[in-house]
Amino acid sequence: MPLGLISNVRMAGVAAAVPKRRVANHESDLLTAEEQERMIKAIGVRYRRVAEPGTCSSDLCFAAAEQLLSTLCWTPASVEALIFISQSPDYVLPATAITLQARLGLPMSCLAFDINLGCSGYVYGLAVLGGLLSSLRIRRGLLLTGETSSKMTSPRDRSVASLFGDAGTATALELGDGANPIYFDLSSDGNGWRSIHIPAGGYRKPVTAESFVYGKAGEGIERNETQLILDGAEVFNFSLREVPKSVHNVLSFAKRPIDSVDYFLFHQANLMMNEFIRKKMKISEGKMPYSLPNFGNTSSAAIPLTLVTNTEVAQRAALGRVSWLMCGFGVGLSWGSALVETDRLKLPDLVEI
Amino acid sequence: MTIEQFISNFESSIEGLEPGSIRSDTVFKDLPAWDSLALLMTLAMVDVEYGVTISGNEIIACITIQNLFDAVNAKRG
Repeated sequence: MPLGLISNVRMAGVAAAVPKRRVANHESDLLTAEEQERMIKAIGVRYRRVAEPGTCSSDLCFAAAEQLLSTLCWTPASVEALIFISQSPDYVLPATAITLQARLGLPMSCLAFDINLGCSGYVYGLAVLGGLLSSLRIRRGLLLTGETSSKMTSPRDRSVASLFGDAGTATALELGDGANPIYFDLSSDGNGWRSIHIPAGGYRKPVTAESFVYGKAGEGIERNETQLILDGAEVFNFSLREVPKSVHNVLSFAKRPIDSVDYFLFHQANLMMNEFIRKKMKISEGKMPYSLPNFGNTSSAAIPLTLVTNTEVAQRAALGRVSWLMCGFGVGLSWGSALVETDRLKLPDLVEI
Repeated sequence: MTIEQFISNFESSIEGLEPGSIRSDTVFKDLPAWDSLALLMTLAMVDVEYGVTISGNEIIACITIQNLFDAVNAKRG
């Protein structure tokens, strides 16, 4: 696990955008009323935002980025790095980040590329963008993370249909000599790639007419090969094993006690799992905000979305210094933690499109 | 670790199970309360109470609570 730090980059602001359309899990037709309540209680998702057919992750990220640039009073011309992290790009090629460079009016001198990561993506993105800014002396950069998971899950799969929500976010990083270091711990375990995957649609298994035929994979689980498979038990065990380790690694590397962290922004996997990890790590309830109840599991958007949509947390971050422990974990398997300190973070209101 | 204690932990970790409703020969996968969430609750209970990790497939391979108890015990070495 590479541990590292970036010492002259500061986080200036964070924005998030979600689709207007809200779906209530207690109206799910896959489950009985009793099953709905039980499931809502366990996974912690009451409402999810679902993108319209024509709305992509890039559109959500674009809306968040525009809002963020205007709140920060950053001219588009001053942004010279753009990273888009998603598993729902606009096209197979080119990279969506490049189309976003033009849409946002960023200069041609802006480097832009995509990273294919899910739940761990935000932490990885901070490391990659922060590292580029620091080493290439780029003044300002945008990290966009977003997913339209609703388009990759089977509506007839009750193991995932109620869990995921759609969202896009934008985070502004800038060079700031004397900024507090950002500490990272990043890891991968490709042996677990099957735990969360979509079989068809890449070049290993190209899409054919048969890819769209639904098959029964279990009780209440029907899906086709272009849709997401999630092995909840494997992911649960993996998270329980690796998340506390990763958090402790980054804290001990930074020589900081766990009590010095103001907020733990964890990937919003599901409530039962997150709460289990929280209790295991003896983190107090007030230090771990959630966006799961209103937005579901939003993949790489979950950490920044949680920051933006918790009013008390956002107010405190807007007014002063806050120390955050961010931890993303999931598809890959891939995971990472970051210890970040912010000072008067700019946090525009949630955008709905 | 006793089977009685294990049964009581199992009953309290899974929603919808009454205390005293489970015996060592209960086929837990036939319980109305048994589903994918119950599987996760069981993984969590085993991790917290016994400090071992058991995989979803290992749980599914068990038939009775006694089998599950034995599988956890074997892991504890």
